[in-house]
Amino acid sequence: MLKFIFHRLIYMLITLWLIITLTFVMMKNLPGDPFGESSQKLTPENRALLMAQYGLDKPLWEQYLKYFGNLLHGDFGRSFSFPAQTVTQIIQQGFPVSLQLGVVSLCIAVIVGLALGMIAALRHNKWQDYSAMFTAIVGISIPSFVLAPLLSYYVGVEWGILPAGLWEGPQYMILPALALSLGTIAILARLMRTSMLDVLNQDFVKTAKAKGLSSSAIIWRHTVRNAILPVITILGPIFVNIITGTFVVEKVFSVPGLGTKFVESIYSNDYTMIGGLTIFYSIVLVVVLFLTDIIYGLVDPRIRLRKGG
Amino acid sequence: MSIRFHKIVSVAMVFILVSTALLGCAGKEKELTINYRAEPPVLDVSKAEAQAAFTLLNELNEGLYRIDKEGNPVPGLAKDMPKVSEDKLTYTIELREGLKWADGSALTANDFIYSFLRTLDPATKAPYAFLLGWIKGGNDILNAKTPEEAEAAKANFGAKAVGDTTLEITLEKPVAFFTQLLGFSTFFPQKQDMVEKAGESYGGDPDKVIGAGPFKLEKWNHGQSLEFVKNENYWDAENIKLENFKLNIVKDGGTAVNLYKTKATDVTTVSGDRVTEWKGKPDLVSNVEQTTTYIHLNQKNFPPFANKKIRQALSMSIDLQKHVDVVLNNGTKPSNGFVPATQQDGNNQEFRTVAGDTQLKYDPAQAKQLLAEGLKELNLTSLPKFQLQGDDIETGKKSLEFIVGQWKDNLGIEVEAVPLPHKNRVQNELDKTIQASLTLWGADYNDPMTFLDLLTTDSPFNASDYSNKEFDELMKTSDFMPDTVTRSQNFVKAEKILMDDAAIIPLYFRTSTYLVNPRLEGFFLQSLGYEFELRWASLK
Repeated sequence: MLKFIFHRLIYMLITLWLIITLTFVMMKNLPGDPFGESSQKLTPENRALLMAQYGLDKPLWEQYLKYFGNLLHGDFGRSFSFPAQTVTQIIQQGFPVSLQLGVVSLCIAVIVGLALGMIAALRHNKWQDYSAMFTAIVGISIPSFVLAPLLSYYVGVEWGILPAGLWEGPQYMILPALALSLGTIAILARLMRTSMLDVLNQDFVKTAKAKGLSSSAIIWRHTVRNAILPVITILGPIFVNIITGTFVVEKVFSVPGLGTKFVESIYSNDYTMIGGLTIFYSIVLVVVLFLTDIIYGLVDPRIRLRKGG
Repeated sequence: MSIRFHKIVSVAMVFILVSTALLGCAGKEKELTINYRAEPPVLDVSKAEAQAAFTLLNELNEGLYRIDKEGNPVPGLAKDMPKVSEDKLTYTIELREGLKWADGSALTANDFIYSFLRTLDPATKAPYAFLLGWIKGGNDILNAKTPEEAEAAKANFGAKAVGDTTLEITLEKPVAFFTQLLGFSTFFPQKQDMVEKAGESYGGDPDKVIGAGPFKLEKWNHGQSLEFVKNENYWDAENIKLENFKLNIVKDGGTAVNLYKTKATDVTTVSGDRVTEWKGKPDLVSNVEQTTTYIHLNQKNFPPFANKKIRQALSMSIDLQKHVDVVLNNGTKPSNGFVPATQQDGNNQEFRTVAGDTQLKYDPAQAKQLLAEGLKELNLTSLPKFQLQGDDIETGKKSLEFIVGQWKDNLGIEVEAVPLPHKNRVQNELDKTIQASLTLWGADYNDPMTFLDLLTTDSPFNASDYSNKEFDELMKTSDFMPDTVTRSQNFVKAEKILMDDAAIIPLYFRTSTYLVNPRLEGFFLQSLGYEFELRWASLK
């Protein structure tokens, strides 16, 4: 077991190093410079002066070593775009918001998605199945950049029940979380349906029926518990996807999260911010995948036993 | 028991909901809320370079002068207009008595000198430091190679504090618009002990931001909002009517208008098709900026552009009125010269009023003839295909398409439209690798120099590689001419040369449109540097 963890750790470090290096190469190939709105107006002399002051005139390998060295010390540096703040501060401000939004929308997605999937499987080929799957297809086909503005306009302005944007309290969270969860609801519903149907046709379910178990016991104890495994496997990646993929929704609803910051840092060549956020997100991804493995083991004793042995 | 408990909970919840709703409404009545499309990167006089930062620094701080509704400087922290020496080189300025920083401490002439020197010091990395290069010795500090060199150069700096309340500023050369410039945030004072205490975090949080302006920063939720309250220590606090205001960072144009419609905000920008539904309503306000959109025709990379008749033909074959109607449809006026409307001429008049129409008029028939003549002069049967680059945003692409269509319809020539990301478009211009480029320039200061200077032979921004001796000569002699009347006339002459040569093809002066709550009085938008001004504003 220790050997297993050690191997994973090594792989994780190699992955992180690759990500850091690739990010460095790619961001150095971005056109332009990190000097904000005024960069168009800098004369070549003034630009050269600023480049020298930030050490951007040094050879690439030297910049890479410095960049890498700072990261090893956990120092992400100061943002070029927001010079009064460190990248760490920006992560501390933005991440909790993205996380909050991500958790709320994942909860919505899991509850609604699993329910839809279960209904569809239990009422296989009946109208409930068709309408649940129709909803799922609609959910997959409408991207959040279409859904979010529609929600903001219709629910926010036309019906006036919820705020059209901004982030000032719990009621401000509902629309962005909904917009963010629709796609996930659809994925989870379809996956749950397929998986349930699969399990319902297994011999042990038939045995359980023959034994005379109540249908709720069959569904909850035997079917759902088995059917939910593939869903749990993808929950980790889906969760990371949700908290990193909040850009559009954050922008539309003016949510002060990290997604917008990430995308903007790329547009503005904010080298330190791109580096810091990439690494931060990579770590989140690696950790979540690791946790998924553990949860997977908890739900399915077969896996736990195999690993334990 | 359980039912009773439920009842109590429900009643409590209804009570909480209703009371928060009421409180929310009560709060909204007083506070002015503004949408802004970007967060100010830093509220530091030296490091500011974004319009959001300039605009907010102007609310929380003040310069010797403040720019009024007409774009003219009026005394701010200065008691009076400056006393300017005969040779127009030395400005003597008296400060008001008893000036205070927002924390109540005294503000003196030295706070200005400290601020100027900090901006010029290469270690500060101030993007707008070049504006202070006009002060004598300024460039020596800015270009110093070592900290020792910078310190030595500081000793010979042309701006000095004489006592606590007098400033004496000596310029390198006469600068006609210098008083105006003193109203720009780069010339605001800074409080030394605050700057030093906050270190690198200066300008990033309310406790690390200080000014002497009408408002002070109370709260800053990064990425979300900034809240300001009236500064009781402002010299004219009794005439500031607005108790507070809040700026929400709203990046999406659609949401911004949604918030305006639900009364969650009082001021927002509105653009594109969204403008249409507000036409004719009192909320819609437009602002002509000192920004010109125009086309560069590079004469070296595409040799036919070196022929004047061909350039004129290209210029005269674009229907400018139709262009703004089709592409923008927000009331923007087509250009009638290079220097934008609302810009002054350096002699207290609007340049366009003085210069009139200088640009060649739309005339497809004559354009066709000019093209034929030009091609004949070059021994060409047709104009080779060339590339016109532009920004790959919505208006940029529409505009490219329209222009290429006009040239095809009116001149029968083939042009390839190349939409590019903003950074690539700009980089190609700076590298001068373009054939033709759809570009824009915003004024750095309120004087025609900031535009005309772009096309002198040795300008780094002359992406047309245009060169005209007469034009260069006019610009050189007028550059720092103390006689503002002749200077203004020279600029008119220079622009006429540029336009007659069709060195570039101006398209329109950028106009931005806003929705402003009609209850907001005394609020105005500015054409240069700052976006809006709240010092004279009040909510009815």
